[in-house]
Parts: sequence; C-alpha cells; structure tokens
Amino acid sequence: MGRLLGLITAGFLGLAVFISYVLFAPGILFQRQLALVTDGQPSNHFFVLDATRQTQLVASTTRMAVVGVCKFDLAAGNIVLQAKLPRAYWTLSIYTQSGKQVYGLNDVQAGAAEFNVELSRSKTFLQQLLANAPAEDAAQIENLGWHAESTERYGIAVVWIPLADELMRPAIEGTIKTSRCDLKN
Amino acid sequence: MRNFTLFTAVLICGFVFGWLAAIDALGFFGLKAVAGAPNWREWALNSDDRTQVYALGHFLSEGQLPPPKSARYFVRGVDEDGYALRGDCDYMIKGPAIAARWWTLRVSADGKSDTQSTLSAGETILNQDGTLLATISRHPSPGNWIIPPQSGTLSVEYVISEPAFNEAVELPLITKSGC
Repeated sequence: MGRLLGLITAGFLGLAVFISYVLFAPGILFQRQLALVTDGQPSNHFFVLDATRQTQLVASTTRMAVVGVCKFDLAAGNIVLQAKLPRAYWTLSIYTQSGKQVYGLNDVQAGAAEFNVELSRSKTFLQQLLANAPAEDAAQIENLGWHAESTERYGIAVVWIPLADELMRPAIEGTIKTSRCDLKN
Repeated sequence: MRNFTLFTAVLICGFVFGWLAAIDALGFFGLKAVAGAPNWREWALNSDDRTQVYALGHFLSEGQLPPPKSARYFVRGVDEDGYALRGDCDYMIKGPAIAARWWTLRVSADGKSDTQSTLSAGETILNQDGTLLATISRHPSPGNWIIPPQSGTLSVEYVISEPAFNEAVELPLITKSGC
C-alpha cells in the first residue's frame, strides 16, 4: 500500500514537473537570452541587431538579413511603433514575452514603407465584461495606422528584412534605424 | 526512517523523470510528419496544431523567437536513404521551383544556430525551369555550394517565408553523392 502511494505520488509529481516545465521554463530561458542578446538596451526603444546576434535571437533568420527589434513594456501606456522600412520584402512580427505572436504584417499588406502601429494591452475577460459599450474602445484609438493588442505586459516587436546581397546591409540598416518605438503621448 | 528515505527517493525519481520527459518533449513533440516527404519534419507552428505549445517551447528554450506564423519551418537529419547527414560526405540537393516570397536552406551542426551555412532565395542560382540544385560539400563545387559547418552529424533546415496560398509545398531531395 505504501509503495503504491509512493508511486502514485511520484507519478503526479512527475506530471506536475512536466507540465510546469513545458509551460513556463521556455519563457524564462528566452528572457535570459533576450537580455544577453539585446545587451542592456532599454525597453520602448528601436534598435538594429548585428548579424551574429540576430541569428541567436530569431530562429528563422540567417546572417543575410537585417533585424530590427523593439522590446516593449506596456505598463506606462500604449506604444507607437513608427516604422520606416525599405521598399522591399519585409515582415513585422509582434510577440508577447512568452513567444506568442500577436501581430504580423508584411510589405504587401502594409502597402507603404512608412506607417505606425499602435500597441496596447488587451483587456482581461473581466474588463471585457465590465466595458460599457464598443464605442468606448473606438474612441480611445486614434486613426493613426494599425493597432495591435498584446495579452502580456512585456513583449518584442521584430522587423525582418532578408538581404539578397550582404553589401545592401548598411543602406537597409540606415533606413530602418530611423524607425521609432515610443510611449504614446 | 527507511520508509522516509524510500519515499524521498521515489519523489526525486518522479521529479527527474518529469523534468527529463519535458526536455525531450520540447525537442520532438512539436515536430510533425510532412505528407509526401517522409524524411522531412515540420515544426507545428500553426495555432491549429495540437502540439504547437511544444514547438513554440522548443524555440523559446533555445533562447530564440519562434518563426512568424507566415513561415513554415522544415527540418531533416537524414538523406534519402535514411542515413544521418554527415559533414564529411557530399550531398546533392535537388528541389522543385518554390512559390514563396523568400526561402532559406540552412545546414547546421546538430541544429546549433551558431554553426551554420546557408543558402537563401536572394543568392541562389536557379535552373532555367526554376528548380534548385545545390551541393553540400567540404570541397569547392560549381553552382550553389554549401560548406558543411563540421564533419560530424548535420541537420538541414528549410524555412519558407510566405509560401503561395493554398499550394502544397514540395520539399527538396537530399541524396548522398560521395564520402
């Protein structure tokens, strides 16, 4: 009886460890790597990664690309990403801290090389229930471009531009470096 | 006292088993088979995939952002005969025309992103009919040449960014041409 109880306890403990690790450990490990790769860059600030660091951070990229990043923190309010991108193939992906992609855009969908994306924190279930009317939301969002919502306070926006030639890197970097990622006034 | 020690040992076993199983699950559970290409596996990144949590967890636990939803991420570690890809052998990659906005073929040492050689859409010379022919070899080869990053086992990753909508993706064959 005692052995059976021990085995059942061990089984439940193993299951709990399995579920906890799968759900939470990847996010923690990613945060550690993000801090290393971005080397103390502040939140709500757009910057370009060098070729080595971009391959360490973005799984789908190689050195033949330019990657711009904005680590965001929505604690103080909405963030506006003012993107200035080249007339070429690019993608913008916004991820939450836990790696869930909440927004995606590319050059064809945007139809413009300069645009704004406003990023806000999505409402919790309770807040949605207590909200008075849909117009309340609409009034808060200015007509300044696209709008994305993050389910988490922290996250990262990534601009990825593949390069046909390494020689194009300085020009592309020069273009996207003028992008901004700031708190909305 | 003996029972207490035994109980503690069983709990430690349960903990370690759960931990190791989770690490293993993040490495493999997120991979799914690819119809018509038995040697390729695809990371289940679509939210419809039941194993998406493992696929996302795999990339995050490696300290990397997962590919965007608009991309498809394929991997393989064997040649067409089912043998492990090795850096001291030569391989021929032959693939059909790819209807996508961008693609990247990456040869890594056991999937390590810091030791990799790549070939991407922008730098590749395609055949007249749009098909792809490339060589993985330590020796110089004409045409599209990928130098393996090491002489040990290799993995090949094929990332297709925004493949044509509603069109089945045909993946390249990798055949050993010599050692």
